[in-house]
Amino acid sequence: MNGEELTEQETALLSKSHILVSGMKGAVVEFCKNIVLAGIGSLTLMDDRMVTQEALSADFLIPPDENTFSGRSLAQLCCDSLTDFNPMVRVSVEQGEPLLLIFSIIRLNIIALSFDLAFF
Amino acid sequence: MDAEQQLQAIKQAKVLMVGAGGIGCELLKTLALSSFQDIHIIDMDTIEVSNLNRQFLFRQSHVGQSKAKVARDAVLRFKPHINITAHHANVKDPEFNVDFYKQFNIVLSGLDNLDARRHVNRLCLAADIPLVESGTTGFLGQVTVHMKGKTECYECQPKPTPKTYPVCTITSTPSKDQFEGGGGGVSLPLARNFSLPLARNLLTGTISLSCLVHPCLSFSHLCTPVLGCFILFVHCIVWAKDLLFSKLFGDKDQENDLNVCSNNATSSSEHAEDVFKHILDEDIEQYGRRIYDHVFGYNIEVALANEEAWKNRNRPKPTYSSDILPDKLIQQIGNLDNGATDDPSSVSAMGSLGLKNPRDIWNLEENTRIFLEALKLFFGKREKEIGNLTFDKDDQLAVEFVTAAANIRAASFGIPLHSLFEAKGIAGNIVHAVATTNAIIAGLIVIEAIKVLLCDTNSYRMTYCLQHPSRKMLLMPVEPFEPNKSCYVCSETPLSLQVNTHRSTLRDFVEKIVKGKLRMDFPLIMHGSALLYEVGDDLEEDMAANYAANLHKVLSELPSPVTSGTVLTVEDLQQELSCNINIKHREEFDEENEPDGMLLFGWTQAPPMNMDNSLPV
Repeated sequence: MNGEELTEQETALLSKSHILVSGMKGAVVEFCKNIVLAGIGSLTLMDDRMVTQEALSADFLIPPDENTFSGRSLAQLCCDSLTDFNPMVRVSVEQGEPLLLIFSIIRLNIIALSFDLAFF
Repeated sequence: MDAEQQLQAIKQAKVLMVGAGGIGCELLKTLALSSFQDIHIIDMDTIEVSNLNRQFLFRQSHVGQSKAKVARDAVLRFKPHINITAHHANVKDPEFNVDFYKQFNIVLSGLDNLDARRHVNRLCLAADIPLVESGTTGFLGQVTVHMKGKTECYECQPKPTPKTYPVCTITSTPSKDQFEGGGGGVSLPLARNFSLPLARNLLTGTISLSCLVHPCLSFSHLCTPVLGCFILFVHCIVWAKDLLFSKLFGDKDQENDLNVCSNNATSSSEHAEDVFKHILDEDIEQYGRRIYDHVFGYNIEVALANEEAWKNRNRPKPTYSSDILPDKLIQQIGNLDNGATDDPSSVSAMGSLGLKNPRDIWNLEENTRIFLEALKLFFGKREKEIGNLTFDKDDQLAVEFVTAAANIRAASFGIPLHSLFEAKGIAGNIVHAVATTNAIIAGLIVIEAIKVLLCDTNSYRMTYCLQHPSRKMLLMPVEPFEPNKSCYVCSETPLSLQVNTHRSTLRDFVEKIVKGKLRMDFPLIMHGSALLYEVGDDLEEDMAANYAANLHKVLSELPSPVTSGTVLTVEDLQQELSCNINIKHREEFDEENEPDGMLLFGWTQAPPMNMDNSLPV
């Protein structure tokens, strides 16, 4: 990463990566937006909770219309919104505990911060 | 600060946002989520395809619409009960005068050019409204707070001029404006943010880069030197995928910039149509060669015709199919075998040509063969899909075609070729990391805005978002600097001008100094109480004639003669900026170094800040 943009190798690495996100909270939602815009390979969301007032005030991915969001989990609502951001990224929802799921967990350097992507 | 107090201050605040682009989208979202309830936005731009990878409030369907309006609509969708007023207008329009600014508690700027920023700065000073400025470029970002009298204004520190010319677009018919970036004549100080291009007019070579200018100056090492604009392989991929592939196999009715370019290139629109349309019963190879010659040969020739564009860049080479493959292609191996299967997913140009390894980098000839073969196979085996196809990275034939087309274009521009494997990776996802920088900066802007609203003067900070963390910190907050006493914009210090009063005319003075250097667009020039020149719509005829005559006169022969020791007052009514200039006569000027024959002094000469001095508070 030389500063101005990602190199093509880094681009390719990003597009091969798959991320599992558990718990759609404020900072996590921001992260999802940015990583989808950046062109991650795929993103899987896990959050079976229903919409609360707190969630509505912090999460810009949820449409506030009660008719739209009632009955659907946070993960499902965010998934719909996120797919809009970058049609090339596969965004999906996973329910409950992940069991026989295979993801590549990689070390990514983004904005010079390195962190392992696992559970938030 | 009490949370309740904070919330109250926020809810009562009226905020003006200038710029609804990269920073603007993030900022509007953050303001809305932070409980701001009365926001005005000014942005004159319309949405372009290249914006979509970071300006997340916009969608493909919004291309062409006003950024300010679409941003407002998008945010109202998740925060329906707040007031957002969108102004689809130029921030320099006279309707945004001092009185307009005075209705706000704070102004937040996410602009992308120096000229507009200076304008906003001057109006905020005139209205005495706090301004939070910001800028991002790649991974760098900065937020500063400007309060009249308490901190520097945006123009207190000189903005550096770039050593290399900031080229930002390559087009077959570049206009002067495009080369000068924001605000003709003003050199942009920093590297253009090299945004990944889903850019329009790629066929003509126009690559629209987002220009996010970093307002910080003295930290020159934070500013990477201006990059000449150059084409990357990734541009070739985007061209091949979003323009050529779409044009040939996608929805014919969808507006495609290939059309636009072809129309520009030729005089009649019929010609443009003919090129890409496959005539019934036309031999596919002939069709393929025709397309090939048009996009890799003819269009490049047209682009080359514009000398200006290629002054500082390597010229692309036009490529014609007859040069690469002079003989008509014989029936390829494998075609005969494929005749039996009608399974579209197994159709492959690589298979037909015997090229087995997707990690090999094909040469120009192989790429040309793949290009023609892929086209043949699309029309031969997948005819029904033509007109409805969208690029899918799992569609082998599509990937082969795009790889080949991108490679041929790359070869033209002297860019290294890539394997199918690499091209597939790139074509599959368009990348951008800058969305994150904008998000961080937007968050910092709101933090500073809240401090300003609470009048928490001691906690104002200039915050830098670094490319590499310094001592494990990504953000570096610094106390704002005091106003520069010799800043002609926010202090009262007069400037000095060295000029040959017998040679330079009033017009020279107006164009080169007043408009050129001081950036006053609607100036008024006075010598004492005598009006030498002014601009306005409602000037009386004889006054206007008077001014016109004055323009031609040399300074010493004006009705109120300007000589050494004269003090001229120059004002801009719209910016409400007034400054005095002491005139000093000087006989000789060095033609090379001082081509204007005039030298302006009194620009801020504050010592440049060093990194070492700016320890975080």
